[in-house]
Amino acid sequence: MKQSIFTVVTDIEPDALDALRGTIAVIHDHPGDNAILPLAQFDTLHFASLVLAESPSLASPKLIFEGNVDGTVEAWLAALAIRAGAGVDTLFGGCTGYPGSADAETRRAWLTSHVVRPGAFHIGATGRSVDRIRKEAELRRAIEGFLDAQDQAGRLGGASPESVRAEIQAFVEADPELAWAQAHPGERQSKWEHRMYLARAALVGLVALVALPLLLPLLLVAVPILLVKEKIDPVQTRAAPATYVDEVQEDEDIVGVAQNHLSSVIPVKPGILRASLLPVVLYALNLVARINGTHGELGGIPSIHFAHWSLIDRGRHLMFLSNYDGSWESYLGDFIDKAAKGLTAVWSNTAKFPRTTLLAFKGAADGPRFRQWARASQCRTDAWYSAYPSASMSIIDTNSTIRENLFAKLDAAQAVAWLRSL
Amino acid sequence: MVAKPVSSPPPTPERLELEDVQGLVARGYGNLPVARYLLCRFGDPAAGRAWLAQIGGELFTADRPQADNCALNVALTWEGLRRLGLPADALATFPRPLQEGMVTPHRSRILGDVDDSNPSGWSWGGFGNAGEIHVLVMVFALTETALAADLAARSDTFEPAGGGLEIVESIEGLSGDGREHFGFADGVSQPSLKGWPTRTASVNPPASPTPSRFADVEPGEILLGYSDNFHKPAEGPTVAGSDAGGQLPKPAWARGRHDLGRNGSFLVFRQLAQDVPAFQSAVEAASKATAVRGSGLTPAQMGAKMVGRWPGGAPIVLYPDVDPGVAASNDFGYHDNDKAGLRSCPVGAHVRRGNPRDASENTPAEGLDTTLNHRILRRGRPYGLRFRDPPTQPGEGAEDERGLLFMCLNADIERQFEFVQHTWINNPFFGGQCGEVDPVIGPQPVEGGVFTIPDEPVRRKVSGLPNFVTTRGGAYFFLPGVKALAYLSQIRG
Repeated sequence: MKQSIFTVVTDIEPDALDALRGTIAVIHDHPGDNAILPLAQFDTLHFASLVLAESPSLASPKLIFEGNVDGTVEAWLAALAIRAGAGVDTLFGGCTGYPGSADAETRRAWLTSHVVRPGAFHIGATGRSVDRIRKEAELRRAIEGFLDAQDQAGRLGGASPESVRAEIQAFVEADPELAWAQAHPGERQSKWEHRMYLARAALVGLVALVALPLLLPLLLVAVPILLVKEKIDPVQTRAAPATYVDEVQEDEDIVGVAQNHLSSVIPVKPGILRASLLPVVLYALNLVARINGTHGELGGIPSIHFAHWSLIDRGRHLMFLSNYDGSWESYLGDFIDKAAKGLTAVWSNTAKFPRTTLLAFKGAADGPRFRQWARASQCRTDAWYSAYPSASMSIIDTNSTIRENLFAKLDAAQAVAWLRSL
Repeated sequence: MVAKPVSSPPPTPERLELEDVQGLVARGYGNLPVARYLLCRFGDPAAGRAWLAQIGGELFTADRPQADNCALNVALTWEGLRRLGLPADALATFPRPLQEGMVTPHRSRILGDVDDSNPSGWSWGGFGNAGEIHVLVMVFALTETALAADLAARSDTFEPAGGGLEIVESIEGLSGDGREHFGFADGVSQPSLKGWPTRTASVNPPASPTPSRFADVEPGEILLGYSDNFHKPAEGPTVAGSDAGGQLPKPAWARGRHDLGRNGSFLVFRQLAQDVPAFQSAVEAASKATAVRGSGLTPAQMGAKMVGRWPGGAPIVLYPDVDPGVAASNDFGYHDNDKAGLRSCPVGAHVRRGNPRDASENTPAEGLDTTLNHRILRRGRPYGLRFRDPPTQPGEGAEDERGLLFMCLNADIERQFEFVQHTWINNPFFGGQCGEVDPVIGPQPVEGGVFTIPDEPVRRKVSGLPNFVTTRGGAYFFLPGVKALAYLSQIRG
C-alpha cells in the first residue's frame, strides 16, 4: 500500500484571519468529529494537522494543512472535496484566491494546485494502511485476551511453544471476524521501489564523480565562504519566552495519546549559497531515507510515524512537520544523540541555528543550544488528528510481525521468538 | 614505521570545588538518622537575606568528612529568590522548570500528577499554594535531642513576627534501615561523578570506589558549571557583572556575567504517599494468580519481579530465583544478562524503568550512552511510621500517611528528572510494551494497570494493579553553592 504525505499551503487574506482562528479552534477541540472537518470519517487518513503560520518573516500569514494518507494525494483530496465540501469552503474561504462556494471539482482543483510535496520525508509504518494498523491492533487484542483466558483456565502450565501457537492459530481460524488475518498481507515495502532508489543513488554518485572536476572550482570558492559565514551568521542566543513554550506545550503529552506533533516554519538564511545548498541536502537526505529508513527507523530514531521537510514561500522558508511518539524532550534527545549530523546539514541553512562547522558538524550536537533553538523556532500546531492515538511505532511494528507470522511456516526457534512478541 | 599512539591521554578532570558544594551532593547523611525538612516562606526580604548571611558559615559542605552530630543544608525556589530581591535579569537565566515550578498543566501530565495525585489536592506546593514555598531548610541530626537543640538554637529564625521564616510545612524523615515502606532498599543505583575525590569520607559518596561504566557520569550532570556528558559546561543561572562583587566566577558561556549556579544543583523534592497494605495485598494476589501454571511465584518473588531488586537490594537480573541476601550491586547491565527479561528482571520492572542501563537502545553501547544522559542523584528518605498490622502505636495503621520524601539532584530537570519520569517510569510503551506503566510507582488507569512478566511459552500478565503511590506535595529548588548563597545574602534589595 502506497502512502502519501502532502501539505496544502495557502496565503490568508488579512481580514479573514480572525474567522479562520475560530474555525480552526472548532476543529482543534474535536478533530475527529466536528461540523467542519470530521477527520475520523476519512479512513485512509493517518494523521492531519492545521498550522496558522504567522512568523514575521513571512510576507503574509499562511494556512498549512497537512495530511499523511493512504493512496495518492489526488484521490484523497478529491474525496475531501466531495465529502466535506462545505467544510473545505469554510476552512479555505478566507485564503487568497479561493473560488468562493465552489463545486467539488473546483475545490479539488484549487486544493491540488496548492499542494506542496515534501523535499524529504520519512514513514515509520511503511506500507501499512490505517485499516491494516487498526485491524492488526484488534487481532493482537483478541490473541492477548485468548491467552489470558487460557492462562486463567490453567491451560498454559507446561504447554509447549508449538501447542500454544497451534491453539492461537485455531482460535483465530474459528473467529469469522478475524478471517482476514489468515491471508499474508504482502511485503511492507516493494523491493522494486527500494532497488529503484538504490539505482538512483548510484547514478547520482556517478554523476557527482564525473562532474567533480567541474564542481571542484565551485567548491574551492563555496567552502571558504561557508566557513566564514558559519562564524558570523546570527545564532539563537536566548530561550523562547516561557509563555510561548507553555502555549506550544498545551497540547503535548496528552495522557493516553502515544504521539505528539511538531511543526516549524523557519526562514532560510539569505544568499545564494544556502538557497542552493538546502535543496541538495534535502535531496540527499531523501535518498538516504528511501534506502535506509525503510525499516521503521530514520537515522536510528525508532519513534517517527511521519516526518517531512518542504521548502515553501518560493524557497525562502523551510517547513518541518512530524508525528512522533513520546515527549518532545526524548525526540530532541534522539535528534542530538543519533542524528545530529544529518539534521544539522539540513537545519544549519536556516535562521539562528547553533554554530556549525562544514555544514554538518557541531550544530545539533550542542544539545542545550539545539533544544533552545528548536523550541524557539517551533510553531504551535493549531489542530491535530491521529487515527490511532494509542499505538506507538513499536506497537504497530510488533502487531504487524505477529500478524505476518501468525500462519507462516516457522521453525521451533522462530515459533518461540514469535510467542515472545505477545 | 613507528606506531603512533592511537588515542590522546584522557583530559585531566577539572578539580571539583567541594568546599563550595553543599554536603547533600556528597551524601544522604545516612549516619544521621534524624531528619527534618522545613518548607518555609520569607517574611521580610531583608530579614531573609540576613538569615542567609547568618547560616552561610553553618552549611555542611561536601569536602568535610561525615558529619558527626548535625548538618544543615538549604535550597530555594525561584519564587523565594524573587522575594529575596534577585534582579529580574538573573531570575530570567533560571531554566523554565525552576521559573514555572513543578505545578503546570503540562508538567502534571508528564509527571503523572493526575487523578488522585492532582496538585489541587496536595498538602503543600500544589495549585494555589505553590507560591508559598520559598526555601527548604534541611536539618539532619544524630539524635532527636541533637535536632531539638539545633532547632531551639534557631528559634529566632522561625519567628515570623520578628521578620523570620514562616514554616509552611514541617516534615519529619523516618530514621531507619535504608528501606522504603514497601520494604525494599532505596537509593541503591546512583550515578557517580567522574573526578570526585573518593577518599572523601562519606557513607554514600557520589563516586564508586572503582570506575563503573554503568554509573560514571561527567560532574556537570549533577553540578552546575562543570563539563557535562556532552562536554559542555552545565549552564546554570548567572548574574550581571556589576552585581556580583567579584565573588562569583565568570562563566565561559555568558560574557559580562557571573556564575550563580557554579557548585550548585537543582533539587527535585516530592512527597509521595505509599499505600503499603494495597501493595502487599496486590503482590499476594498476583503471586496466587501465578499458581495456575504449576510453577508459581512466591510473594517475595513477585515483589522482586515488580521492583527488579530483592528487598536487600540485590538485582534480580543477577540473582533471578532467590534473595541472596548480599549487599546491593550497582555494576551490571541487562543486555547481555537477560535483555528480554525472560529469566530474571522483566523489562517493565521498577528499577529497570528508572535506570535501563545498557538496554535502552538496540546495542548495549548506544543504550548505555543514552541512559547515562538521564541519571539523577537521589537523596530521599521515608516518612511516616512503618505499617504494622495490628498497630503497636498510633501512626502505624493502614489509614496513617506514610511514604517517601523523594529528593533528587540534577543539572537539567527536563533532560534528567522529568525525562526519567515521563519517558521511562510513566511511558506506556517503554521497551516495546503495550500500555503499561511502572508497576510500583506509576499512575495506573482507573480500570487497573497491567504488568507483563516475560516467560515461556508465553508471558504472564498481572492485571488490575491499583495506584500504590500518590503525590502529596512537591517543588523544584535551587541548591546553591556556598559562595552563591553568600551572594544572595548581599543582594541590594
